[in-house]
Amino acid sequence: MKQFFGLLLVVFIVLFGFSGISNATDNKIKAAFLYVGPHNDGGWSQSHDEGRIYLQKHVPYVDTAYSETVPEGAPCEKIIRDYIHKGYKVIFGTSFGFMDSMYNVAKDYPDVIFEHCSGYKTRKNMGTYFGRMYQADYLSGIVAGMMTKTNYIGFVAPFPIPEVIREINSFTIGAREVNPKVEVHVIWTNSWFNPVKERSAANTFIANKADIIASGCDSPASIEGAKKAHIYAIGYDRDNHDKFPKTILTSRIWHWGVFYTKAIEEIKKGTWKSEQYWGGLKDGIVSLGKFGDTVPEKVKKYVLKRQKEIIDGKFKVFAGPIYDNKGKLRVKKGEELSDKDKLSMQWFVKGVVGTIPNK
Amino acid sequence: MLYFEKRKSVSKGLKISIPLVSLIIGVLFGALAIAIVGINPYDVYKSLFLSAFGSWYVFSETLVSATPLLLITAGLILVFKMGVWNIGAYGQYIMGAIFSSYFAIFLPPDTSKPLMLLLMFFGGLIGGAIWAIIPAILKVFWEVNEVITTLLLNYIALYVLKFLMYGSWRNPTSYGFPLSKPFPDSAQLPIIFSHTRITLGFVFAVIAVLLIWFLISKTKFGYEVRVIGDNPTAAKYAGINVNKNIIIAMAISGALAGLAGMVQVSGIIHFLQVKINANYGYTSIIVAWISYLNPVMCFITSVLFGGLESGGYSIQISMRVSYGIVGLIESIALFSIVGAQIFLNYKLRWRK
Repeated sequence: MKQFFGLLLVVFIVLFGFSGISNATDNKIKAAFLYVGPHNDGGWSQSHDEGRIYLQKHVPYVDTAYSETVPEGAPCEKIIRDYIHKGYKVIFGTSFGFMDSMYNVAKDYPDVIFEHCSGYKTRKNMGTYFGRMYQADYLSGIVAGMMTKTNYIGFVAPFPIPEVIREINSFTIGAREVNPKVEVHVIWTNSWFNPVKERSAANTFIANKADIIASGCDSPASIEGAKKAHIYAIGYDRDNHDKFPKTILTSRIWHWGVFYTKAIEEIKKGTWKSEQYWGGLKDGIVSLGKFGDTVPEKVKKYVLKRQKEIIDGKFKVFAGPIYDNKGKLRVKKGEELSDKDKLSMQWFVKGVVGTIPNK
Repeated sequence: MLYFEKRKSVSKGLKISIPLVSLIIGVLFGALAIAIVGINPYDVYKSLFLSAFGSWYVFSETLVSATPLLLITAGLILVFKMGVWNIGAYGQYIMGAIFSSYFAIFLPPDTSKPLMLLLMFFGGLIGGAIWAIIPAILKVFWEVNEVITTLLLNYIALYVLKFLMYGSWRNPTSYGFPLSKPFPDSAQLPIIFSHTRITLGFVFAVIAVLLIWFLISKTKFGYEVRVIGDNPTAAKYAGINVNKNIIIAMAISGALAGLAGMVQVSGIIHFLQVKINANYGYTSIIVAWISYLNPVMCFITSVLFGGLESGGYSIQISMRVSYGIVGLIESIALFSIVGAQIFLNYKLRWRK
C-alpha cells in the first residue's frame, strides 16, 4: 500500500512537475467576485455577474474572476484567501452571509480592498454597498395595485431580514396608495435560491386566489408558476420581460455595474475610501424594468410620474403617516423614516399579511 | 453469465494495483466530462494537483482540510476493526461542535484562554461521545443495528443544531440569520504556523492517530478489539467482555469526531452556524476504508482527500471551471476508488 502512494506521487510529479503557480503580472487591477448561487441563476447572482461583465467591458485596466455557489462560512474564507494569494487586490462579496469571512480576512490583509454587498460591518479596507431597491419596489407596487382584480397579492420572501422586509413594505405602500383594498401575503422560504420552494410558495398563493405574485428570491421559479396559472408576476433582480412578456407586469432591476465601475475607478485614482454606499433610482443602480404587454398607458403614466418625483427628491416612499400591520403608528405625518430605521426594519406596514418570526 | 467469486487471499500486488487502476479509470472518466465542456483536462488536473500540493501555502490549506478527516478517521478505524459500523461521525461531529460552542457563546469573553479552550476541548469530546454511546448501548443490550441508529442520530443532531441556530443561540445582531455570536479571542484555537490556518487542532489530530495506532497494536484492549473483529463468538468464549469493549470503542470514536467538530468551529469558523462542514463525517468513512483500516496509512489518505477538497475550491478560481465540474471530478474519482474495492475481495468469473 505504501508503494501505491509512492508510485502515485511519482506519477504526479512526472506528469506535472513542481512548476508552482505563476501568474503573468501586469498593471491591471485584479478583482474577484464571490456569488452565493450559480453565475447564471437567472436572478441575483446573474445580476452581479452582468455587473462584472459591464465593468470588464467599460474599464480597460481591470481583470476580473468569479467563484460561484460559494458556501458561507469556512470555505468562503478559504476562497477569499486563495484569491489574495493569487494576487487579487479587490474582493467583491455579493451575499450577506459572506460578511464575517470577509471581515476576518480583511484584518489580515490591510492592502487588499473588500467590498461587501448588503452587510453592515466595515473596516478601513472594507466598505459596503447596496441599493435603494425600495424605490423600485414601491413603483412596482403601484403597478400591481392597479392591475389586481382579486386584491390578493402573494410575496415569496427569502429571509426575515431588514432588506427583505423593506422590499415587502415599500411594495405594499405602492399597491395600497392606488388601491387600499389590496392585501400582500407573505411566505418565507428561508433560502436565497431554492427554485422548488419558490415555486411551491407561488402555487400556494395561486390556490388562494392570488392574481399577482411578487418575489424577493433569486430564481424566476415563481414567475414560471404565475405564467402557468395565467396570472401576473412582478420580476426581480434582472429584466426577464423577454422571456415572460405576458406574465411580468414590470421588474425591479439591479445595475451593479454602475457601482463596480465607480469603485474600480476610485481605486485606480487612489481616492477609494471605505464607505457604506446606498445608491438609488437617481444613481442608476436600481431601476424599473420594461412594462408588460398588458399594462395600460394610464398605469405607466402614473408610475413614471412618481418615478420622476423620486429622482427629483420630491417624493419619499417612507413618508408618514405609516401604520404597521398591528395598527401602531410608526412614522408620524410630515416625517420620513430615517435611513438607520430603514436599514434595521423589523415590522410590516399595514396591508401586509404575515409575521416576522422570532424577533 | 457473470458472477462474483470470493477470493481466498488478497495478494500485496492486488492491494496496490486495484486502487491505482481504479483511480486511473476515474481520472479518465473525469477527463471525459471536462473535455465535453470544452476545457483541456490535463490543465485541470495539473491545476488541481498544484492547488493542493504546489506550494507551502496551498499545502497548508490541504492540511487544514485534512485535520478533521484525521481525527474522525482515527476513531472510525478503531470501531471498524471490531466490526462495529459507526456511520454517525456526522452527528457526533455536530454534537461536539455544539457542546464546545456552548462555552464560547455563554462564558464571559474575558475567561482565560487556557481554561476556555480546555472546557471546549472536553465539551467536544463529551458531546461526540454521548452521541456514540447511545447507539452502542442500544446495540449491546437490545441488539439494535448500529448502522441504522447512528445514521438516524445524524439527522437528529442536525436538527438540534438548526433548532439552536434558528432559536436561542442566534446572534441578536445577525438580522435574523442563523449564526451564533462570533467566538471571542479566548475561544479560538491558536495558530501554530504563522500566515496559515493550521491550528493546534492539527497537533490534536496527529496525536489522536498515533494514540489509536498505539491502542490497537500495543495494548491488551487493542488485541481484544482485533479478536472481536475477527470472530465475536470466539472472543466471547475466550473470556473477552465484548459489550464493554464495544461501548468503550464507540465512545472513543464519537469523542474524536466530536473533537473534530470543536477544532472546526474554534479553529476555523469562529462561530457556530448550520453549515459547519459536517460532511467530513461521511468522507472519513471512505478515508478509513481506503487506508485499509491502518492508522499510519490514514495520514497519507487524509492528506490526499484534504488536497482533493482544498484543490477543488482553487481550480474553480485558476481554471475558471464551474462549481458543478469540480464536484463531478471529485465524485467520479471517489466512486471508482470505492467501487473497485469489491474486486479486492471478489473476482469476476464467467459461467455458462
